[in-house]
Amino acid sequence: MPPTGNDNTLRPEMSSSERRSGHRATSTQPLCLQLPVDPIAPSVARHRVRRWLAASCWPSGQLEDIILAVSEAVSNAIEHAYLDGQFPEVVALNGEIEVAPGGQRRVTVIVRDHGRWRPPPIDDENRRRGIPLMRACVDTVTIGRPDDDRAGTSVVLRSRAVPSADDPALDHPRAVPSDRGDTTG
Amino acid sequence: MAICGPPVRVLGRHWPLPALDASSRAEDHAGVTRWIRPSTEVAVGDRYGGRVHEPGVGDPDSDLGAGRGPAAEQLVRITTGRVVHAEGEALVVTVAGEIDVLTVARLREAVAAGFDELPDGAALVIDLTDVTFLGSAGLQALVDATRAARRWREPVRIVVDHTRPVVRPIELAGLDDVLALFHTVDQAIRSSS
Repeated sequence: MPPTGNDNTLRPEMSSSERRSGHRATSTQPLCLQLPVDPIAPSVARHRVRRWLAASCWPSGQLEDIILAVSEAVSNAIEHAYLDGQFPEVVALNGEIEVAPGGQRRVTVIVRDHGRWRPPPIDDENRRRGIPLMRACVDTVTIGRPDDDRAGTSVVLRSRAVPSADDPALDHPRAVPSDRGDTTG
Repeated sequence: MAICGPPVRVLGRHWPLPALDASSRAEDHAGVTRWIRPSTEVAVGDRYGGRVHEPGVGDPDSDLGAGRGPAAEQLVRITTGRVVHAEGEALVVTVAGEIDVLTVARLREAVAAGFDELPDGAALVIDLTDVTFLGSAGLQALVDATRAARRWREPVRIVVDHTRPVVRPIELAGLDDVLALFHTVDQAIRSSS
């Protein structure tokens, strides 16, 4: 999914009525968010991505991993903005689900800030921890910058493949957003 | 973290903690004496009056409106209690909710306060059983607490139960060998003997 290049485009995600009407299985609706440059942004992103993927019956273990990766990416993005001292208006988050011919699905989430590009830190242990965490949670993490140095940094997260929403192996009709009591395998 | 926004409104009483007195003493059915401070809740996230400002999205027509946004979920609750066992004593910092860049400062404050008032010979236990999200900021706080404990020769033990939102990031970050992890608070306290 290429970046749209238009940060002000805002497409609403599916409403609950749309979900009820049966469009949820394909969930072709992309997710577009403009997040405030504020420490509350990661929690907003987690909440929205969770709801978006839960509506597509994403397997809960994969869903949690994607949410962790997204949260780290957004945390880095707002930190970029703060370090720049420019307080740009928003961090853009775009999510899209792709369905392969066999029905396998992947989600791609792009998080873009508008801070100046800066190389990965070598002296900040906390930020050093975030990027490997992202890489462990999804299939690929691409951290890039556009040619224009002022156009910000983008982080592209591409998830591992999961079965089709109609796959009987997915016996959870709806990925459970509950965080409690879920044991690790 | 270098991230610091405008001051977050804090609900309830917070650090420094009130002194323990006889009224806060309670015994549970196992005969374990606990001192509980009733008013140590710290809630974060109502900075927007219960709403999250999401430009273009947080208008009343969106389903984020009317106070139903994630701000209500963006809570961390931290309580500290003293637990006395026949086999050991501990100050238990119990954390519930999400630990991320917004809330991690509360965890750091609670742990620092715990170190400050740790009785001689007692362990500091951080109970994460009810934590629903743990990001790298929270992991770093746990690593820092562990290092501080090592420096001061006071053990800090972390209770993670089996909850995936806590165990998964610890494992992914390779910290399961670094942090002293236990399944229950009782195990954490008993390990001192």
